[in-house]
Amino acid sequence: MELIKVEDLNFTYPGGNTAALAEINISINSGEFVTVCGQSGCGKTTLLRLLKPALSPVGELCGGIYFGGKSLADIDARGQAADIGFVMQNPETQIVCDKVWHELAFGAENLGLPNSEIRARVAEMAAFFGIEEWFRSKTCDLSGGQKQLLNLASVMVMQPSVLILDEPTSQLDPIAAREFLETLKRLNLELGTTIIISEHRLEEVVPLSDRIVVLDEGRIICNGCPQEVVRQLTDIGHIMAKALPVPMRVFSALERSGEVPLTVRDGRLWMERFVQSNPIFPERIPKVQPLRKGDVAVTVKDAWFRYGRELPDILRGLNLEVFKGEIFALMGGNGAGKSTVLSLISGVNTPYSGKILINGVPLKKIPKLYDGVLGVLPQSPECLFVKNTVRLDLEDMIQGKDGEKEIEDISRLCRIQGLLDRHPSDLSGGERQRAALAKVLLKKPERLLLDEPTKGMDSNFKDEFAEILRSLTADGVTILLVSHDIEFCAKYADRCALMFDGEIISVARPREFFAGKSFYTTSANRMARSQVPAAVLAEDIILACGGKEKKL
Amino acid sequence: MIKRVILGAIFGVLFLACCVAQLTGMTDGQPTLIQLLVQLLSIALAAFAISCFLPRKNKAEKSKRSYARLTKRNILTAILVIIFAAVTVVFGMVYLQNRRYYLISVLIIFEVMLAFFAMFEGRKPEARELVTVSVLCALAVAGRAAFYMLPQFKATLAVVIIAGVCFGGETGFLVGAAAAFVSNFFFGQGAWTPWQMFASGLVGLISGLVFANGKIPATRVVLSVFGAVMAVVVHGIILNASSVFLWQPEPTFEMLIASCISGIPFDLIYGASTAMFLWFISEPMIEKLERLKTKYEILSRR
Amino acid sequence: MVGFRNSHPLVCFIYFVFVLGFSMLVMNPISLGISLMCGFLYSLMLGGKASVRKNLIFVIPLMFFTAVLNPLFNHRGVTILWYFPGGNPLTAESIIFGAVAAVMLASVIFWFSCFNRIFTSDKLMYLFGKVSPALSLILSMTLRFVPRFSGQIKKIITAQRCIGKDQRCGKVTERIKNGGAVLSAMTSWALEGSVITADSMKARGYGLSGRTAFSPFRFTARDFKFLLVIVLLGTYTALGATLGELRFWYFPSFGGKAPTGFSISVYAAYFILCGLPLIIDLWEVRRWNSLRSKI
Repeated sequence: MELIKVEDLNFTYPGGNTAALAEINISINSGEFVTVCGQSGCGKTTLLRLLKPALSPVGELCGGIYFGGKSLADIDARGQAADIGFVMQNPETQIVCDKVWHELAFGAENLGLPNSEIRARVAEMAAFFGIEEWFRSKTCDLSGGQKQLLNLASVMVMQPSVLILDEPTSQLDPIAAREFLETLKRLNLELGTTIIISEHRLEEVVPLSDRIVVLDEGRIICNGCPQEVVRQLTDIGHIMAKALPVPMRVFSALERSGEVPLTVRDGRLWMERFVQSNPIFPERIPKVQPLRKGDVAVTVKDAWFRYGRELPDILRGLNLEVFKGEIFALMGGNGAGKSTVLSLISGVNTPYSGKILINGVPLKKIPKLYDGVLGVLPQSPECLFVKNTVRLDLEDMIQGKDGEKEIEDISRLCRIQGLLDRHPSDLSGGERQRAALAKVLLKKPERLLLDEPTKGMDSNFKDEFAEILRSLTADGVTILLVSHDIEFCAKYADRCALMFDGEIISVARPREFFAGKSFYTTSANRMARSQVPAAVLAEDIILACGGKEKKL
Repeated sequence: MIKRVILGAIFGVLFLACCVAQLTGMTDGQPTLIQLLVQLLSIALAAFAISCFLPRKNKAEKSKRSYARLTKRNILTAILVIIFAAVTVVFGMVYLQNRRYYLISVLIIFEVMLAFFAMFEGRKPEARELVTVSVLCALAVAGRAAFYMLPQFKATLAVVIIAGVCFGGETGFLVGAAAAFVSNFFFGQGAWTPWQMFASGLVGLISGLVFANGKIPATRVVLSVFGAVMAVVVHGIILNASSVFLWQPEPTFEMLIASCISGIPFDLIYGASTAMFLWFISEPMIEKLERLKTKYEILSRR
Repeated sequence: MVGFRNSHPLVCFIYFVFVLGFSMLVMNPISLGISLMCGFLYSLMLGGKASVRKNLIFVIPLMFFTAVLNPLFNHRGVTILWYFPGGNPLTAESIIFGAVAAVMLASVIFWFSCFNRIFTSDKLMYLFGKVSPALSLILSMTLRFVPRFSGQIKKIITAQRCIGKDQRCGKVTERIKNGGAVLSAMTSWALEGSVITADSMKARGYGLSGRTAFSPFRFTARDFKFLLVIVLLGTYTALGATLGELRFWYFPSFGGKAPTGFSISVYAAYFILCGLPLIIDLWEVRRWNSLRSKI
């Protein structure tokens, strides 16, 4: 049954020259799981918000949006509040109340339900989402993943028939994101809730979706089941094809007939079949070049650290050497102590045993640590901005005559020339990250520490960001980054290290590093490990199978 | 409604008559049980009658909403508060022996605060307004963390004043009172809570009344001086007086003075820190709040 | 174990209104003694030795101040002990009066420390929500924001420190300026987030008419029993106090109403009222122990 219908929708923001959305026509059936994707700024958020009247942006709208056969504008406030659930990107800011139970009840309270009814609904949802254990906790004590689950649950308490989610996992770590998406699928399967989600983590969400809608500059360019969309995207050679999960990219570069593999499992089966009938050339994968060992830029020697006298050790005798001019990626699960390592190297915390040396000199003996020696880009880049425009913020960092020139150079390097007169909080996630990087770089640090730099970035932004990092290392800057993003590290890092339980378990060049792991590795490696063990990236598999990916 | 008012007036007069009778010693000594009941009943009925003036929910007043302006309902509420305060004073003088000053002062504080809360509630505030008020309160409470190297300095009053300047006296009062209440969740509620709420609420109210109409420019010099004066004179005196009312059963004027003098060092530090905060943060903060106001048209609807 | 502390917030609140009200309003040395003793014991039971020690450090100077301030300024009374250099008399009555006031102060502080232990924010919010839903929501949101803002301020301070804007060194004006910058950045961030929070509220239907207030607290038969006992005892004491059975006078000379059967019963009622939480808790501990020993 058709639940939502959008007909010839055009939308322009006030003062906007071009339409944010143009000629949108979609029809969504009840019980469908629809993924809306596209690059940043393609209009996905606008489209999703237009489907929820309480959040609709102000602007010029023509065309019709129908919900359950009625025009959306004709549905009363109560009906749309209850029937259309909306979950936003940031798990933190959506939470209204201080206690979990109160947050769960908030929507039902607004609907004016009696106490007994709220109690029953809250109990049901708490059980469905596994919230019982932290039901009476304070919301500020929850982890990011729990917060987003709470947001989802507190929308579900209102028993909506459709759930709209705007990049709900972009602020979560991969494991929490997976858990969130699985819960979503469970909602879809067990309760039959219609789901419309926008995502840039396509890897996980595509196999779950019944339908994918790809937007580009406010227009729908593809709309269909995952199979069709993969074909269409590669046919038109759209840049979003690069963001598709590895099995699909490999498939569309090598073979155009048969079923598109959606998951790694399908990908493995497909590989097996492919190898039987086609020759492969594993030797084409570039060999691992031995690392040119330069000077040691940062050394951590046998560091032990805990946050409080009574608290457990976070680091247990950690050893680490980072060479000059390399991109060193530190990976590991939540709570492995990755960010703590950064805080020790940046001098924010001090180990209770062990040493931290910069060019062989103990950290504490370096007089002006933050003046050219070290630069730190924190996990939340907005922490760096204190002024009203990006330009003022950059000027704040630099004294003297040639400030103007340097700001210009740095903003060219970080590709933020067009953003200098914007307010820092008006920037998108990726833009803000680059502006923050520019601010840090104005001190000309020889060592750059990055904490989760790719969080919330879409694949295109990641590539741009990596290019900036590459050009920095070419100038001799040493980069140490902490990340959950396996694919990013595999592609761009010079060396990768895995942390577990306060220690570094393994360090190697990315190819060696990932080829030797069975779980903590890229999906390309998981997909092709029996046939091409050395393959780490999708490009590698394609090369080894004798194919070529379309240049985009 | 007229019936209720007449009823209320009759019972109010009855109550006052009973009180006067007792004060003048017509029935000497302790009041009897029956007298007591009659008086309690009459005051309850009078209150019920007057309550028809209290703000009602679900009235179509949204379009006519205005800030920092004396609307008809605000005047009514003010009159109500004055009537209640007068009744409280008379009631206290008659019934309480040793602790009358304390109870009367606390009751009056509660009545004033209740009036403000009722005004706010009756306006049916929108989500954005609620969130903004809460954000300001939280900033007032958490703000001191930004100056962690100056632990004795509190930013609370500075934020309350800025709230009053940007959003008017009513919101200023609310932010001040709520901030004091919430910060006591972290430092412990006590008998002093109502006074603290009232004192910082009053500062917010006054700054709204002084600056909201725009006649006095809210430059940082003016605000700093204003902040220092508010911290020492309004906030300081109320809290010093509160300790006398709280802990001295028979407060005298000399005790008040003594308490104020002993509190002067703390008040001066508070005044100086408030002035200093306002000097450094008032301009950027006001600018940001104004930006928000224009961006989302909150709290300043035409 | 449930204990009195986990009763319905309304029951607890009415209890504290009675106990604190009597402690603050009745200047009677006997009733104040009862109140102080019970308040002290109950706060010991709730918070342990550490919290009582913390309170004592704070209470003793205040008690001293109160006890001294009164004879300094209050010169009424007939038993003159000494003359101040200014010529004003120091009277025995004013000393007694000051001491009683100090006991009142101590008992109020101990009862408030119990209050703070029992009334967690959600219980107070529940009571507030009954009176003013919007205000209660503001309080809930503020309590949600405060820890979040404190955390963010710490993050900003660290981030700023790592780009050379350190508050720990440099001139005082420079430090304050940096602190101001932190608060200003914090304000931007908070206001930006507030828009999303407001959206999230609207998306979940805030502003529809007829909002209800949910609470996880249920009024049980047990709560009803407690409430009944508290109200009966409280009303009886209040009646006694209003009819002057607890009257004490300090000026011109110190004295009290001669004990009658009625006044003794009022004292007894008050004693039971003040000791009620202790009685309930101890009784439950005993029952629990006996149940356990049977297993």
